[in-house]
Amino acid sequence: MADLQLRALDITKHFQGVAALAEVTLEVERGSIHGVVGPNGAGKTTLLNVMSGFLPPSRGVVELDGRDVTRLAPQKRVPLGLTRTFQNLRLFGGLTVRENVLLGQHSRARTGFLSLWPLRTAAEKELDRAAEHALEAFGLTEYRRRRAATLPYGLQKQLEIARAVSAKPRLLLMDEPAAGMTAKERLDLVPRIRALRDEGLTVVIVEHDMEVIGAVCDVVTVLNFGRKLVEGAPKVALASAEVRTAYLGT
Amino acid sequence: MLIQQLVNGLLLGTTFALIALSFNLVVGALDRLNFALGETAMVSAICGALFMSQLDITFVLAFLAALAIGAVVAGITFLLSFRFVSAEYHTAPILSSLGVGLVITSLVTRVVGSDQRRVPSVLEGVRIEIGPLRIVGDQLIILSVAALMTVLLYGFLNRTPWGTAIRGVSDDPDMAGLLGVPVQRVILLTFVISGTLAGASGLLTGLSFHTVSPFTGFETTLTALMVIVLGGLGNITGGVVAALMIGVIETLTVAYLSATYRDLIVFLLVGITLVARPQGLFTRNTGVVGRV
Amino acid sequence: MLFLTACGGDEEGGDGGDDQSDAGPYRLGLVHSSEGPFATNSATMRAGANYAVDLINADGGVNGRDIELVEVDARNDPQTLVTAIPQLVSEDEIFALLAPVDSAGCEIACAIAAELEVPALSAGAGRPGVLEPSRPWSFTMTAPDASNSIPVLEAIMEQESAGTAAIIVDEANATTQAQGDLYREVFDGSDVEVVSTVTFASGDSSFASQVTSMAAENPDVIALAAGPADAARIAVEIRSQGLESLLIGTGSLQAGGTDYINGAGDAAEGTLTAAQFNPDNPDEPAASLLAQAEEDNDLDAVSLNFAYAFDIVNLIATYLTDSGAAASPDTLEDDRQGLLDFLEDVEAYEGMSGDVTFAEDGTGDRPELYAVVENGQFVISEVGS
Repeated sequence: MADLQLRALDITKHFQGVAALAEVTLEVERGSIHGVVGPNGAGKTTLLNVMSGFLPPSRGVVELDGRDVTRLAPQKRVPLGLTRTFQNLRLFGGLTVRENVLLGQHSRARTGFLSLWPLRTAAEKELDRAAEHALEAFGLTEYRRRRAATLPYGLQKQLEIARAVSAKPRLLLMDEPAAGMTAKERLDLVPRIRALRDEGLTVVIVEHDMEVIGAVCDVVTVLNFGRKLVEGAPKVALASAEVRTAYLGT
Repeated sequence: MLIQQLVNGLLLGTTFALIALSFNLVVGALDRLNFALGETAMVSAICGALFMSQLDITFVLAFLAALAIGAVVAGITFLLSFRFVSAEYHTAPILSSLGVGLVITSLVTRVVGSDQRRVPSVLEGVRIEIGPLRIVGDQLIILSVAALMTVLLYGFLNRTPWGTAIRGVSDDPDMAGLLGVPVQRVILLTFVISGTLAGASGLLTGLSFHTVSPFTGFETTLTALMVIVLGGLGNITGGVVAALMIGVIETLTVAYLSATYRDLIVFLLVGITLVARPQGLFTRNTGVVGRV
Repeated sequence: MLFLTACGGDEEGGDGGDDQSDAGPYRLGLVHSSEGPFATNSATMRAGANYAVDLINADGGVNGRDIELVEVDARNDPQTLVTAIPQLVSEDEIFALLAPVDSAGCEIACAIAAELEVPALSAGAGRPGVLEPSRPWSFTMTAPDASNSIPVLEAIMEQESAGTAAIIVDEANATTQAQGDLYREVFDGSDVEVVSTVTFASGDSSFASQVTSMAAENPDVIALAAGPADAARIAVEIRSQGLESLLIGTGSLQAGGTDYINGAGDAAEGTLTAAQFNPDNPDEPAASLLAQAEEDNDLDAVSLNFAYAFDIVNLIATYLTDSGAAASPDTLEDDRQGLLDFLEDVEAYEGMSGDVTFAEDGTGDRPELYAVVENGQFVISEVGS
């Protein structure tokens, strides 16, 4: 049997009587990159919110590593290894790029209150190196001292991923990472997400951009009107007749 | 004499700056005002003054004691007035921290009496003269300690992981929580640091005024509010600049106009600021009304 | 004409008047103020009054009845006076009122009491005209600052051959403003040039600015028109800026002497003030009363307000004993009038504060003394000695 890290079982979510999700089941295999696609209003972000704890489902169960986390607050899911990014950026605008990443590591830091330069422990220096590494991996090294709010939008998106990753999650939920990026930045994004997976991270990615999905995902789930339409390898799933109908209306 | 008066004003301003820093830290962390900070400063100063005069300990030790007392009182204020108060009731912490302030004042008058207490001079006899300028020992201490504390605070906030966490929490507490930052502990830390600053401000103000009285708590709070409204709520650098400004304005008013105009002029300035630039003189952030 | 002795209890309690022990205590109102520039004077007054009551009650009371003080803390807020005093009169049915020690409070409190036809006595109010709105119902033990202090300070100016002076005035307070006028009159009358006048508002400020302004003129004399606590802080700032001018104060600074000396420490040394009360009065019975009070209350020296309040309570007790007044709801009106007549006629009541008589305007008639701070104490001398 497959090693399932995250299971969302028969998730139904009503908003004032309207079903945004209807009995959707999503099973994410450890070490995979799992795409969720669908037209606007298909319920992608709602599903992400339910899985990360921002919305309680009306019905259904969310399991993380076999443990029922349906009623667990988002912050409580962080120590279990689950982190997410947001469609609308939520960076610490007043902090520098590097500080944003350092805060991502805070839970692992266990630093003293006065960890100034001469008093640093080896573990703290190690965290420093990790932060530098994360910055480099997302092409942010040269901006490390800039205030996050002053970065161009695409770089802010990169920073949000870098920050999420530096919390060393085992499962990362990404909400439209490519939205607002330039063509070049999208191109860079694909190998970076792959590299994360290669380091052992499981990724769930909600995305509009079919090129990115096609290039990066191992499995794709297609939602439409809150229901699961198709699931499978990207080439197969995206080529299916139902998907073409849903997207193109033909 | 004008130069001497300017220096007097800056010295007065430095004590205002510390208490304003103290308020601004809490505003940053919680978007709330801790109205007990004036009394926190007062109780620290009274204890420091008593330690010096009754136990005959040195200023340095009394100062450290004042810092510690400020920290503990602010920590307790957080637990009593903020920690368990629902975020939905915006005015609740205002009232509950005002209440803590009242309790502190009456406890102090109950325990040590309502007399004002003398703060013995430090470095008595030390007097530096530079041209027409004269700075005495007490003023030297006030200036250097206040400057040192401000620099330490900036260093802490900008160069340490917990300082970064405080700024992160003050920017977006929910997001900070999602990243695994222990938000409540960071807020407690913010209160404790803010109390430390209040304690420092209390004793240094006492040194500048030569006495401390148990009834100055709320006045201190009012002064701090003036400063932070002028400097921009939550704007730490703006607060320092505004504090020095108010110190100089008050001093010059007293020296060249009349003491009765002192508060009037400051209130006017603050009033005009509220109308014309509600976000404060030195910030482009959200306005006062949005944050209280 | 009456010749009385103080320390009422002795003969009065036992067999002096009628035994009315069933009638409950005699109630006296006392208004003090835990805040404001004269808070310490107020606390001292309260202590003196309570001490007097304790002694009298321990000795069997008056006419077999205890005296009870009904106290109100006005917290330096006129509004409190306006509501509290009618309440003291109508609900607590006080016989007479110990009015606030500070002139501002006394003026309001006495006026309200006078309207209700209740005698009011202050143990400290000394501003000129403070009793005007409330005569003939009010009295103050204090000689007005002006009539007492001006001749004394003029003598001091001559003795010190001062040429220039600076005045620092608390502008937020009518009493201290009157002190400022008083100094101007003194300097006018003794050909001293006023080279600098600076102001402050009581309470919250550093005095660095004001003292810098005065220091620029380097005056021979600095006159303190301030409550004792503020005066203390001014003195410290003056000395810490290295200014060596002679500090002078009116009688009210000496009255609040403990607060001034405790607050100023060494900086108070050498300060000269006018005075009307001698805590080291060698004449009897004042000497033994003062010594006893020092011992019983663990005081270094008895303050003016303490002695004046003590004497007020004993004056009232003496009247009650002599007249046998019941001060019951039926007789209250007549008995209050009786107290007024008694006070008007007092010729030489010998109390803790020395000989007590009242001038026609209800103010105390006091000796002209001056005081100098030596080794942390006011030492009192007679002018010319």
